[in-house]
Amino acid sequence: MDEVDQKPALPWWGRFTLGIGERGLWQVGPMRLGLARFRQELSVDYRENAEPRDARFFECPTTATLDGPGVVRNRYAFAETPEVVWVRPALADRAVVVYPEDPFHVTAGESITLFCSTPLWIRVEAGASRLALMETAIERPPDTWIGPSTREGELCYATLTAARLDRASVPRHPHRALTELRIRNAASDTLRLERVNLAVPYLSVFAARDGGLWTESVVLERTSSATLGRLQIGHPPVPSEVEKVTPARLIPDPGGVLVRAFSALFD
Amino acid sequence: MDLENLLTTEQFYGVVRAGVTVILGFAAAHLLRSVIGSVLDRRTSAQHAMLGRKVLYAVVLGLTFVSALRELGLDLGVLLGAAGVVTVAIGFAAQTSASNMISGLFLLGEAPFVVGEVIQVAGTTGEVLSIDLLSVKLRTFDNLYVRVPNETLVKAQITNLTRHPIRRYDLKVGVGYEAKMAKVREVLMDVAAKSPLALREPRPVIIFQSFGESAVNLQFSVWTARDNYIDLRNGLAEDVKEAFERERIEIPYPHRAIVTAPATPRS
Repeated sequence: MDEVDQKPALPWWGRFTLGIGERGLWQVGPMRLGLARFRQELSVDYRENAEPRDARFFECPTTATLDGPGVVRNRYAFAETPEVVWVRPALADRAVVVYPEDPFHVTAGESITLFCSTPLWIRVEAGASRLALMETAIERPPDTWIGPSTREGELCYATLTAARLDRASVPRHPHRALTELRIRNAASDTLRLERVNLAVPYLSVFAARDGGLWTESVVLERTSSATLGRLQIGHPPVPSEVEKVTPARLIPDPGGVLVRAFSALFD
Repeated sequence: MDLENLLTTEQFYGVVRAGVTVILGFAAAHLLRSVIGSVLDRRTSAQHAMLGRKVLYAVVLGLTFVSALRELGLDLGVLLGAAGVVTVAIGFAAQTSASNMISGLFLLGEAPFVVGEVIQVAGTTGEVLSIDLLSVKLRTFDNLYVRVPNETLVKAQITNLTRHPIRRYDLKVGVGYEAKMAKVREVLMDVAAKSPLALREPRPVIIFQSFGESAVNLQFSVWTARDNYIDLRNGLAEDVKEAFERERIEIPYPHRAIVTAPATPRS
């Protein structure tokens, strides 16, 4: 199994201070983000599809500017701009359907743990009250549809996963959060795992000491019904070594969320 | 009759009372329409809220006029008798209006569209602004206001473009006879895979259409979220053209050779 580089990575998120006329520059995965503070204006600029695609750096303050073709510029006006800005990762605003690269089977009665990553959004907030300014996908995942027909279902994002079973072999990307996914196949037949619907709006982002980003563990139990599963949200894989960076967008019910977890279209 | 006598007559007070009733009735109708309307806006669809507001307004105004007529001393029994005769006369004269009204009731009952949806009817495509007693009002995408009589809508074929959350776009494309079909298929599927707006599921499909005069005609069908339809439609054709050019797959078009004959010598 491939061993990947597990050296501590630089955290690109957090609280930053900018003086009047100062700038900050980030590159997170394929997205480059530039902040510039003026007396009455805060400029939040970004460019998608920047190279290298797996970069992770920031400089704040800096003299570097973000210009050129493809830069999207957003200007926010204030009576007086706050000196504190927050740059934070957030999980997707819709559920993410994870497709294993190769067919994956969970035999009847088995319970397995696998690791998969989902794409992150970048969020910029200003001031002590954390006023939300901008939020966008670091790398826009493709859309997909999960449901019994083209009339009923849910619009989700799609992502591929290698469905690794060993935590040490999971590669870390600055623009993706890892989820420990436990699947219990309580049905009497083998579960052919073609897709897993991860309801990420119910999950939070945690930062590990080594700079990796994680979500809570997720337990999906498949009963006799092939289409629906109950999603139980647990703790992050190593609770003592992580710190919550961004809370969940939605609050789950204590009993878990019933999701169309494994259903193929037109099952 | 002098002014003093006029002011003391019962008839004059009846006119005043009728006038006050009408003014109060109008005020009550407006007030109730806005109060009940805002409640309906929160609890029902836009269409039902609009219908509720109109019915309420008409009922209150109707009661107001009946009360005003009673204040004037008119016998409603006689009026209703006369109304029967008048109705028959008007019925002959206003067959189209009556037909539109009845068609409107059918449309409300069947609900093939609601306010806010985009429909295509009798060659016109537009957003439904209102469904009224006699007609439906549309706003076309070039911002024209179109009135379609209800009778036309009942008779015509209506296509609701926004009823379902996802749509399929069928791109008709022809490729040269020398192109390898497996390569064409691979290139088209790769274009869909790289487009974030193209849904992973339902999967894109390539359907053979015909052996044309100068090309093998194919249909490349890709699903997308309803709101992204126009963006996908524009982007996909561009991406396919660029991918075909990159992979040297020809999109043939009829060639016509024009040979200029030598001038006929004059005799």
